[in-house]
Amino acid sequence: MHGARGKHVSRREFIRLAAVAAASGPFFSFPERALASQKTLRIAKWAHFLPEYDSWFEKELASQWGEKNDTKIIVDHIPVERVHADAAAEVAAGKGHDLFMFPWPPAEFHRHAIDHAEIYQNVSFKYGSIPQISYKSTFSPKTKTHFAFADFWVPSPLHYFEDNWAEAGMPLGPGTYDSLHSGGQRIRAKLGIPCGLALTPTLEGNISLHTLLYAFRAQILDARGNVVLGTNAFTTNALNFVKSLNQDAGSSDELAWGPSGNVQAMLARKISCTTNSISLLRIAERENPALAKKIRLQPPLLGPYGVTAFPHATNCSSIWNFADNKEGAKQFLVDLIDSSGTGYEKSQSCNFPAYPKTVPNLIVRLDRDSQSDPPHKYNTLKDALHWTPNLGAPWLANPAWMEVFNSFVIPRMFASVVQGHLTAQDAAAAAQREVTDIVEKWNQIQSPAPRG
Amino acid sequence: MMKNGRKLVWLFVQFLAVAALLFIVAPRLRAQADAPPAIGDADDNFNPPPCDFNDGFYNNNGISTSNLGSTAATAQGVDSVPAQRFGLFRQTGPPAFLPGQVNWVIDNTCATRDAIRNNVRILATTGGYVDDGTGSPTDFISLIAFITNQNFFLQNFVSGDPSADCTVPTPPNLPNSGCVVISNSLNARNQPGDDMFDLVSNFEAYPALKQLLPNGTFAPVPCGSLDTLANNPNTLNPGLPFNPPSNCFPVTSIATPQLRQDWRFATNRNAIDGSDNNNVQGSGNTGVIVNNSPFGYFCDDLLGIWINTYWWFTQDPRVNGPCSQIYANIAAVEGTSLDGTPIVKTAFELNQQLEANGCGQEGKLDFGGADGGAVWLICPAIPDPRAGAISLDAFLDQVHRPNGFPLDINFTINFLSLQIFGVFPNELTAAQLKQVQSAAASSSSSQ
Repeated sequence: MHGARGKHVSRREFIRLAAVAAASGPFFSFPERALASQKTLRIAKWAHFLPEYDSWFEKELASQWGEKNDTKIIVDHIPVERVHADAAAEVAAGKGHDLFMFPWPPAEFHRHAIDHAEIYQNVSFKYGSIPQISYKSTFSPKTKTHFAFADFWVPSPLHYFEDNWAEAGMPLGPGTYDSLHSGGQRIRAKLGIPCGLALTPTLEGNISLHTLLYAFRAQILDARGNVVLGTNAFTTNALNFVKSLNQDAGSSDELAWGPSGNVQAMLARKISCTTNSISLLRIAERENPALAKKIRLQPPLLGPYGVTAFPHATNCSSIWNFADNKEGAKQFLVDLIDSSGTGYEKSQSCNFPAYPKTVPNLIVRLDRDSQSDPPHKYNTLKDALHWTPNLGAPWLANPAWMEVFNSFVIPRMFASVVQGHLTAQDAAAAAQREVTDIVEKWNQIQSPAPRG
Repeated sequence: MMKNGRKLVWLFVQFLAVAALLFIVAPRLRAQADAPPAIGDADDNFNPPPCDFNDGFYNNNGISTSNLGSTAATAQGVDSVPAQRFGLFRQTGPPAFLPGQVNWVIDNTCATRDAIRNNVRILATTGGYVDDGTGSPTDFISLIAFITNQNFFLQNFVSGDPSADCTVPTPPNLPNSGCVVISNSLNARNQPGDDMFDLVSNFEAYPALKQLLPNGTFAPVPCGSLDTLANNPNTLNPGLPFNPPSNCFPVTSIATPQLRQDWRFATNRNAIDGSDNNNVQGSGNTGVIVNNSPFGYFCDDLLGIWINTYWWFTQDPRVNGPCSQIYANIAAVEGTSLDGTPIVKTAFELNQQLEANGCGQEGKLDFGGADGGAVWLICPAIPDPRAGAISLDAFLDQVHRPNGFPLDINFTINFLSLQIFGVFPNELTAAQLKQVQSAAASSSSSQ
């Protein structure tokens, strides 16, 4: 009976099977044709400070999105220190990836990116209007377009060893730049351990020194785009402070570290404090829980301008205007926001969502962090949005400001003073000239660039 | 002796003038109690005068009331000698300036009016310029105690409703509702859930210590941890002379006689919704960033704690130098302090006119207490100084000239207006304003 029924195919079943066969036939019969019609999305992504996050991004997030959207996804992880050069090479060649994810606002490349306003608009239906940090990191007032889409940022708190700073009478941390100097001086004298701000032309050095400069009320460009770096005593004050800090409480290593050198120094207990993303503490928790237990977090140091620190990273995704798969890249970015909560989790709380609604219980999650030993120490980050200005502040991240950032004008200026090559006044004046040249160059560049 | 005697005479004259004014206006005030401006009876005097907080409120907000420790670096709480808390210390002496005048009294109505208060009512009412850009002499505060090091911030403390289980929870659990748990040196579980230690860094008070030393020397840097090469006037501004070591002014006391001008306070940082251009999420509601405090002074900083931002001049005002014209420009607008330096009332004057040119500098004392002075203040501002908040027995703590006259008589006028009529001068009738002005002027007519 069963066999007989198997041989008998009704007319209705025959038509259904024929339709299925007709639909799927070409793929089964000619797999190369099926693959040829599948789209490809090439993503260049800055290598996250925590490899676990990148693994999730590539093997789960991107892979599943590719399956769902019948798209082959290629993700290339690029070390942070190579991001600028690789992006510049793609722009010069007019080809490369479709989507380039930067750890900072790619304003320098704004002429080679599509307008991302459409993506912000699509996302707004679900998660609200564009957040301030995204707006100020990706909007070009010159072209009235968004040259990137910013979906998360990474705060940069102070990390310090509680036991070291207790020796200086500051178990709750130095709190201010003045106490960083005085307490750091006592710790080095007593324990032989210097404090450890990165002063090198690296991401860590860039963030630490731009932050310090801003906290000392110095600005590179004012809110009207004028170069003001060397026009007042704020910059020289910051330069003299860092020189004094390095001499009295720091070490020569601060001027020699490569990428993540400050992180390695903390993990080796060679320094008493540093500023960094919390990836530092996460690595310590994974590799040396006893060490991690002694590391505390604190909001950025209080300077004359207040409690403030630039983000350690601002994830800005740009779709090149020469991309082969612009539509796929747009859809990927829109869909990416739905994974912000998971991204926050996979980044172990490093990635703060630009859209607060995507992680509505962020403060509770920080407070209840399961890795925190002692408990609640991540609670310090709950107000991070309040003390984190966008790169480019007090204005927007414009091309000139970002070129200053990526050509390490500020770390070089500080190094010249700390190493005794220039006085603070001369270093500030030299940097002022260099920044002025950069601004004038960008003033002469027409936007947008010819499409590749 | 002659100088001190003359000062006391004029201070006494001022005191008598105020007393006389009170005597004259008091009967009329009672008669017109319900007519504006408000004054007098219970329905008009709805703002309570300031009282100290009770110990539980200090503790619940992360501040220790320990009396241990005898130095700035070793003190552990607000009941210690270095903290000089009202109710325990300083009943007479600065800020009180008349013989027998008291800074605080025991008043059993304090705690009945407000359960978070103890029975120490504060009479010494310190005036300060409001840090809102106007520099108005309209801030009035109670300088209750000094915090001299980090030990004052509780690192382990548990309290709460007796009916609640307030044991320290096992992570990742949070304390039960109604409990306050501060643990593991984090100072992170105070009553509002904020970390008091981090929070108070957002509120700055600006003491202006005398830089003209008793020996006639002008000291252009503070003593202690701020006396660094980076703060040397010559480093800040190469046109200024190098300051030799140990030519510094002391920072161990911020008592009023040590001040060259009146305080400035940042109580304007009080709008978490951005309505004061507070940069809550990147910019203010008009796009202009005024300050970037995420917290509200009156809603988050419940103990009214400030961090002291000491600020000073880098050039002796008596000699010509690169800062002379800048000093003259500010002095032409604001007048001069007891040191002969310009009076500074606004952030613009301090930051953009002085510091931007290397003619002024600011700094915070060592958090470990190494400098021996007040790093923070328990110094709550009176939220609304009108309608009874300035009681008739309160007195104004302000900087006086050597002859006893107030340095800024506008504080005197505002204070008297608030004390006697319960309103600021702009709400007075013409006759009332005249009375206040003549009372204030009587203490300064010979200036």
